Amino acid sequence: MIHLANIDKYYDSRFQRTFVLKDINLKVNEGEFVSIMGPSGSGKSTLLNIIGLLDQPSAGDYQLDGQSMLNLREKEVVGFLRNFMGFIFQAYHLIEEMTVYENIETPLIYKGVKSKDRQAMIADLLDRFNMVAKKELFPTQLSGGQQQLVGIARAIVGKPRLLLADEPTGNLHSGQGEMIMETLRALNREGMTIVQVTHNEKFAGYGSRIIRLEDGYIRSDQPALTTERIA
Amino acid sequence: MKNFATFLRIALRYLWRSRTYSLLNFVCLAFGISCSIGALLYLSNQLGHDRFHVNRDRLFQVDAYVAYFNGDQFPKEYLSAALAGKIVSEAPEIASVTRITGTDFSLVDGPRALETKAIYVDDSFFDLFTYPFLDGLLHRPHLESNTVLITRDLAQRWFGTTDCIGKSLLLQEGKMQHLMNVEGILKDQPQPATLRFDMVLPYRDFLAANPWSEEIGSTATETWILLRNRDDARRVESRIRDLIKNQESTLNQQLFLFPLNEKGIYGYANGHRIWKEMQRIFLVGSIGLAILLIACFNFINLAMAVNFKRFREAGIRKVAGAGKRTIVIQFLSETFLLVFISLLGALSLVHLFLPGFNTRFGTAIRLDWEDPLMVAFLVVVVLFTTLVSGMMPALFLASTRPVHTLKGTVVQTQNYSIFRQGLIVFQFVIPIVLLVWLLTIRVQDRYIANYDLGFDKEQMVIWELTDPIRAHAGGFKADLKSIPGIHSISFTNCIPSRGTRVTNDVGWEGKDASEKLHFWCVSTDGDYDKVTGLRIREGRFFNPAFPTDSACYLVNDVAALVMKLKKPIGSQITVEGRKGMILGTFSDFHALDLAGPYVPTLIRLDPLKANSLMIRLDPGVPYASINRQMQQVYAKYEPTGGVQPNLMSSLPDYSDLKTPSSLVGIASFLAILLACMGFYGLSSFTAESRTKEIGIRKVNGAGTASILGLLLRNYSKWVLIAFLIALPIAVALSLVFLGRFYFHAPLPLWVFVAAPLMAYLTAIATVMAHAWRTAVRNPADALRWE
Ligand SMILES: Nc1ncnc2c1ncn2[C@@H]1O[C@H](COP(=O)(O)OP(=O)(O)O)[C@@H](O)[C@H]1O
Ligand SMILES: [Mg+2]
Repeated sequence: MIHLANIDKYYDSRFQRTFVLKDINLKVNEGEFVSIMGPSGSGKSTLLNIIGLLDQPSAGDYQLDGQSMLNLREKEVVGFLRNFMGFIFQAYHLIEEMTVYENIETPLIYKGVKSKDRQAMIADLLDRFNMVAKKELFPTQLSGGQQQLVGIARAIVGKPRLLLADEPTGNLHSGQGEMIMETLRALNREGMTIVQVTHNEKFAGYGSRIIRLEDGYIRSDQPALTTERIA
Repeated sequence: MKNFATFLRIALRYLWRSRTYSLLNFVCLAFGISCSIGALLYLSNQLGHDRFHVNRDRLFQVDAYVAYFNGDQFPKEYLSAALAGKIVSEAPEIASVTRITGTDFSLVDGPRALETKAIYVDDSFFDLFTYPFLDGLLHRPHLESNTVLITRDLAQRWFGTTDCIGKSLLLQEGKMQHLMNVEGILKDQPQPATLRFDMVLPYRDFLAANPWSEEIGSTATETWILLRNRDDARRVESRIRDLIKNQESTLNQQLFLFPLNEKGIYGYANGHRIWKEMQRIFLVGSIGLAILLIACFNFINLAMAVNFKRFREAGIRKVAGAGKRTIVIQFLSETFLLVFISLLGALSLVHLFLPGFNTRFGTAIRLDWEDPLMVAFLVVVVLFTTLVSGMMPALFLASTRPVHTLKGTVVQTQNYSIFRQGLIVFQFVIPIVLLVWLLTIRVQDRYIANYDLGFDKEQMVIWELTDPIRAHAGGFKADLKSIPGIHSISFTNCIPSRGTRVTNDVGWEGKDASEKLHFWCVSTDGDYDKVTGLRIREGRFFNPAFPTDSACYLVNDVAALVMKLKKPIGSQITVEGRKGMILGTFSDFHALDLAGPYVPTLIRLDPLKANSLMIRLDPGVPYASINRQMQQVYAKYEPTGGVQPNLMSSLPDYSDLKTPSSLVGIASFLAILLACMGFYGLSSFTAESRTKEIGIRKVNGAGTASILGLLLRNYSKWVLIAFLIALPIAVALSLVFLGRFYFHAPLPLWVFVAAPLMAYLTAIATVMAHAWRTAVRNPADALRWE
């Protein structure tokens, strides 16, 4: 599904060119669950953002389902964001003035889903995440783990094919982190392709494949054997 | 529908979360919008006069240009009553003509009296002006002698009922009384209107009482015409232009047409249409717009400051699939919501302040919901305000890239902050310019009030004459004279700077026969020089000891100049048929107000033409004590009570700067208030967002004073730049304003210091509280927030 070829990402300052990503070649197939690891500043978020069309590569080729993602018009990007991808962030990034329900509803409104259908879709998700009683609460009234569940619910409510998660457990203690990872694994088993960034070896093991970045290079790209054993 | 409810709910939550800013924005916008509504109401009131006349576009007043001694041409509205007939026979394009002469009458009924305005008109008046009648009277009434039409308002006030046809009215004019029969009742005319009257009388009655009015060149009547076709105005004008001159070549007057449409807005002088009221209309309009703009800019500034917290939200929405346009629309809708709420506030404000405004400026403005123009204007104002205020912040938000905003660090681009600082600067430019202007008006007002006319206005008593006093002038004057503390007394028709009679019937040796110059003619007695401190240049003033002086004249230097007299003293001149010698010349004498130049002026010994008494008190003598003694003398000669004397300094000012002064005053007050509100919001925001930085500085040893200095320096910079931009505009404005007065104060340099200083101090005072709180805050508190 994802095909990155010779991707470079650099920033030009006055005197020098700083490479954040250098010659990245990566294929992710439909249904995979990929974990990206690496030290801070190694370019993990940048890579994820490029995949998610939030950022453009400086050089190289990016194809999604065989379609080039270079030089897309703004409208086309919006289309992909609406229909193809869901995002989960370390900082949850819920809108504080909106209730749990309204937060989850936002992408559906942009997709143009009818009010009746929205209600049904959100109700399903709330049920699944055991949050029916919390739908009228505001994000600040929830625990971190619950907020991230809402974040996931918002990311998947539009049934995206690709879920991108940037350190989804970074702000959570390990109990809640595990719950989030279980949720992701379940989603993956239902067929959703997932790319996550994580610092946690154990959580990386929830994926089927681990990519290690260092200074913008892919240092290794291996199946996650350890997790299979844990699982 | 549900989407809208969701939007509304969330928008209100946002307004509530940042309620301080919302409130500030609401107040500013409400003020700004109410100012623009007020300005529009005022404008439509001024521009919409006489709308109710069906023939409005085809109605013209026939006026004459009169040449002034220095070549200027001024309009004259009142012309000979014989002119109307001649004009019609000259120009077949004229459908109808009417003469209108206004007179003030008292209605009397035993002890009851009521002042009224009447107009004498020809029957054709009602062909030109379409006034509605209260009941089924003919559309074109024929007014017999001694019949009268009255307005419903007068009927109510005098008879207490509109059922008064056939009743009689007793009109008093001086000593004359006329008994009139009420023939019909007119509906009150919608305001504002050019012609103001309470009753309509037949023109034949005016002619009968004033046979002189048909003489050539007399000043008797307004003449109004109705054209068959409005485009014929130029042609008619050229046909009648020289009608007066052709009749009497010495009358150097040219007729022209003054459209009813332009009455109350424009004036005419020197053959051109000039702005008169239009100046004020323009002034009010631009002030209204300026204040609305300040409010909008406040909004932009505050919105951008507050929205900085919302960049993240915009980023989230984009990631969730919102397009740029969706985000712009969302934020614009929120702005619209606030603007709409502010509109409601503004309407309440207008409602609240309109009565006071009307009383203050003598207008009859009201909010008319049935006026489609008004409703359209409100819609336009709301959209304009929404777009101007909301567009920029919305675009900034919508153009954020999620990669940046979602990282948590907000990248404030350079453009963004320069743009905002530009707005702050602009917000201060307007109040500074307005303040300079206000102070300049005040300076000129004081200049005129304190202008040295040759005597102390505080020690000058003006007493209007009544018939009993005129009849015993000599005795009254002698009795007053015996009161100690009175310096001198003079009967006169000219209180310096307040105008006098004009004549063009002046002849002198070597006069070009075609010349028809105007002279201002002071009629007085032999003490006028002592009372007014007249500056004699050559020769002498009248001396009662020489009886021949009564046939002599004094002229001022300007008169001598226009008469081209080489040796004025001893020259013979003829004024209105009376020939006499020039005894002396004088200078620096203001017969007219200070707005214009010195005019050619004559003084002659003719106390019978006087209408006032000028009494000059000795320096330091209190008016109150003298007044008591004067009243005792007065009571002897004027048993009916007469009129009260006035100190000259307490007479209303001749050049009316009160209205512009209070208009600009209100405007600068509002402008500075709004600018400061914006400043306040911004400073509270800055204080909030710089908490950490300042905490770190303090941990590193910065004292309260240096932090305070740091914050204030930043604010001062903006006001300083605003001042630099405002300076040339303000100088130009002041010069133009002062230039309108022939005698004016020099450009007051101190106002260019005082106005910005006022703006600066007010601005600093508003941000001081925040700056202080920020500066003294315990750094541990500030840093703990992280
Ligand atoms: N706009 C930018 N300009 C310059 N350098 C940037 C910019 N954005 C990110 N970087 C740099 O790119 C590198 C990689 O960033 P990031 O992808 O966020 O790393 P990670 O997520 O692996 O911690 C960092 O060193 C960061 O400083
Ligand atoms: Mg990162």
